[in-house]
Amino acid sequence: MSVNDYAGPRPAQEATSQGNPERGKYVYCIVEAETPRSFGPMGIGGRGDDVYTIHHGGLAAVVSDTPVVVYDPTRENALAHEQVNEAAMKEFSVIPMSFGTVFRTAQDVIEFLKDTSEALRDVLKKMRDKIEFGLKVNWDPDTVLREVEGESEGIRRLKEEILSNRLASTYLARMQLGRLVERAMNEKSDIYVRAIYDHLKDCAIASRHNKPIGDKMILNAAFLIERGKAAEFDHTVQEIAQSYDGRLRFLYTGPWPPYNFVNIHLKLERTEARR
Amino acid sequence: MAVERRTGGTSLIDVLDRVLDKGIVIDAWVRISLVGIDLITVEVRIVVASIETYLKYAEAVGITAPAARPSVAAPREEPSLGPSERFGGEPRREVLRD
Repeated sequence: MSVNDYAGPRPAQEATSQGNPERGKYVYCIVEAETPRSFGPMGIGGRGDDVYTIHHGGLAAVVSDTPVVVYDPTRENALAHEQVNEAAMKEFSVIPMSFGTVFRTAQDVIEFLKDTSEALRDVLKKMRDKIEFGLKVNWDPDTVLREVEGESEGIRRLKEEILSNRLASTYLARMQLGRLVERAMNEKSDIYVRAIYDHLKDCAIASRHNKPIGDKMILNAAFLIERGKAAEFDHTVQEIAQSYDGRLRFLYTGPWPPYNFVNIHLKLERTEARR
Repeated sequence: MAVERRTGGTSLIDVLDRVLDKGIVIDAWVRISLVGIDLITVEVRIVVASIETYLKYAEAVGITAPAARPSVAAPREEPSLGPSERFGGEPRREVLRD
């Protein structure tokens, strides 16, 4: 252990173990567990490091050994982080750690568990046997645009006026048309989104609404589900997707650790020297 | 067409969207310094700055749904939520439903 050889903060180094015989601990998630166990050689960094647990007071950090480095969120690294979480999730309720947290020693990990145990326990209790699913819904803006045009007399007329060149300047008219179309599309999207939520809310404990990405997405949500209700949720999503077939495209992912439903923000604080 | 569920780890975008800043988050600068700091031999400890668990329905679901819209569009008025909550910001909410 490093208690006696502390040499002051050192800068993050490149991923070599050279000159750094001491191994850091990459932390993936926190679970409730009393007995040590291993998840196999799936640690981040592609070195085949064993993933195992470090315990304190009924809590366990799922970790792997690592050189003391800053990890970039590359595809390999991010997926490694997630895959360990998924493995742990098969047996435990997990609180996921955000990407890239490396402690220098096992004792530091224990200190972390000790310092934050109350919060961790509280959250673990709330997240017990709960998992997350992601649901993104896309539409085809061009198709919807045509629908909107077909349905609105006002939009059709304005468009014809602009196209017929009767107006000296079409600038304001085009602005107005844009506004009308946008409003109509927003209304449509709201109706879809509301209907989808209404269907899902009976089998979900909670939902979070994230910002849709790009102009095709109308819904980017996460749902917190009781483990035992996963099949029901699954079934309901299938039903909804079927009922909107041809109009909406559903992208459905999971199970995830409850990333979207837990946010524990930690910082360092100066304190008295401990020993 | 039935929708296929993909397991979490198959979509990089979905993974990054979650792992980078959700769950247990340690301040970015701390995260970098952590790798250089031996907690038990220096005078620091990790403290909880805030906890939020979102166990409640986003109450304004549907009403606040930001639709696909031209990127230049002015933000609509959405009376039920503050601006920071509108686009997946961080609603400051504690547990509301167990």
